Amino acid sequence: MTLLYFAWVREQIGRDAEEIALPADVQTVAALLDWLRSRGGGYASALEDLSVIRVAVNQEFAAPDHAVADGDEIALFPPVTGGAPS
Amino acid sequence: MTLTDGATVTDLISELASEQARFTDMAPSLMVSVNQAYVERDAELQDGDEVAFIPPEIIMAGDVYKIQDNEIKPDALYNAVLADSDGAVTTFAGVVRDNTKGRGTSYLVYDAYRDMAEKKMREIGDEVKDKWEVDCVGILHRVGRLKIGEISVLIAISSPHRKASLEACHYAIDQLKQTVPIWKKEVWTDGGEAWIEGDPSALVSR
Repeated sequence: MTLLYFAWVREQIGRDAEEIALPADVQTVAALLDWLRSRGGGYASALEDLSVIRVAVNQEFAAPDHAVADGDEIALFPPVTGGAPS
Repeated sequence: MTLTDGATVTDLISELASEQARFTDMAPSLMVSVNQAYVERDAELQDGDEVAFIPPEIIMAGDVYKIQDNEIKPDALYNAVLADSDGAVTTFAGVVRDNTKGRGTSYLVYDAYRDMAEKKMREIGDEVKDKWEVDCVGILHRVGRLKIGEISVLIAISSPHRKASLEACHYAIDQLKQTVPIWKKEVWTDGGEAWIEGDPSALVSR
């Protein structure tokens, strides 16, 4: 599974991407976020407030109950703000 | 040029770079077309294909949805969407302002989930074509570090009659802000910086 990180999520975790072997008991976006958070360090601080974390699975926005599987491309990022400066 | 079966654009680029060292530096910013249609790097090539490497300043006629690192040039996008049957082109440029709520801006940094962003930009274009009688849609967003006055996003939409492109352009930029995975970091003249929005460290730097 490929994990991609953007914006301050990337800065806090300290990397922009990684490949992981998905643990068998991690089957949803929510479970994945919990599992990542349990790694501590930058993961824990980046994912402390899940209300400002958004997730895409294979380039589509995904809700916490969305399934995840090996081979997926998962991206974690803040709410999108692109386009013209507000 | 001879390549193995099933070779991709990426393979071709590697092959060319091995012959011409300068190509390595140029390659990332070049747009690639195969048989006159833009393709991604993983597109597979066949015997007899015509492959073109296009510098970013030149945009082929038609729809375009691109995240780019280099300076956005309005004329190129305008010309790309304009056809003889169009009576109007509406262009929106989002530019870097010198302040946010009175706090002086030094520069901005944009980050994007490139593949998904281009896909979402194309979806906006499709939606706009569905809702309004427009001809071509072009959306460009820049990433990296941008200075005051530089263009961060450019949308150009052509149409036979003016109302459609005016309305479609307004809709397109509003949708882009909602759905396209791009993030902005503001760096202020007072030394503070924060990603907009939700940046946990922003609570400290404000």
